[in-house]
Amino acid sequence: MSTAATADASSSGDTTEGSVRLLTLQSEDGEVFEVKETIATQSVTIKGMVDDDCATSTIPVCNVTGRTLAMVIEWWNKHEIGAVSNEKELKEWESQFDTIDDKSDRDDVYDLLMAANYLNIPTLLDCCTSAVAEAIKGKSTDEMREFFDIKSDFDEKEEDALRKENQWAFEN
Amino acid sequence: MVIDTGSDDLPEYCVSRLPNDIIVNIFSRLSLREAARTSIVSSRWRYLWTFTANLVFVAPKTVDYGKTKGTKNERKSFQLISNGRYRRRTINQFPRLSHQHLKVVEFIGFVGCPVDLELAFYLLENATILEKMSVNPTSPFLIGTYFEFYNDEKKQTTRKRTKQLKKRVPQSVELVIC
Repeated sequence: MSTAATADASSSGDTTEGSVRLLTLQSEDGEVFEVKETIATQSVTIKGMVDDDCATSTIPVCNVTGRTLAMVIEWWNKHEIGAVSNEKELKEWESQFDTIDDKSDRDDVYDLLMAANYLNIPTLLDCCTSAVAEAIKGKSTDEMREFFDIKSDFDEKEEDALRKENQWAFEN
Repeated sequence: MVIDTGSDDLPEYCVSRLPNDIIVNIFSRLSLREAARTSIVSSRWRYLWTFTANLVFVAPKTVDYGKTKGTKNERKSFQLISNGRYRRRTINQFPRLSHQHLKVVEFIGFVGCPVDLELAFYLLENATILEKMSVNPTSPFLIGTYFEFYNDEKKQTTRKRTKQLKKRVPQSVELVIC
């Protein structure tokens, strides 16, 4: 590709409205998405590819399903500069990620976390990690196990020993 | 394929697919006490909380020093110091440990009295990979209120005192005074 490929007035064929370049992303399960370069570069990983001129053909996004990638793209669209004029409106929209009492919501958040981690999207990673942290604040150990669907692999003796090791954390 | 497999078949499936650094990121947003409680959830989580890179010290009004052998009087004088009214201190025995994962320290309600400085020096000395220490003279009780940004004499004295800190900060650590 030409060296001008990263510039806005790209010479590649897939240009559209106001010569904004489109990138093609392919999810793990084969779904294809066309996304404006200006939006997709909110991902540090993709920005690196664009800067290195490697984003000229389809970009495979491994470990991320089409369903999750669609959510990520929605996130990008909302967070594009100028997309939402009002900070409050954006916060309200983001607040949908805060309610993760439901198992399926939690699954979505874990998926988004994996995607945000792989694609390196700091804003999305921040939002999802703090949602999970908020949800487990004030929970007892058993409640946490239930929340995360984790079965303890400690027997009672081991658990007691561990409790004693960090006793200060379990006193109120 | 990843999702929609019905998590019942794989009990630890959901959260255990997250890499450790994401879990540590989540724990970093909890208080240290809450993060430490996660150590008994499962063996994989046992030491994860110790990797959190943030530690926020919020000085409580009274400090429970029950574990030292101090007499009642000593305990009392420690409490007075933490209220910032007395400069005298009697307890001088906390364990020296090296903190190998601590990167960022935020000091809220830093008055600059000896006990504050001592804790700051202690961390500068013992947190081996410390990158940033920020010092905020605003009392934790005023944060989020109208008075948060009120710049009174007290704060200015605090700023002067923190200059003492600057002399002792190694080059690898960034000192921010809010």
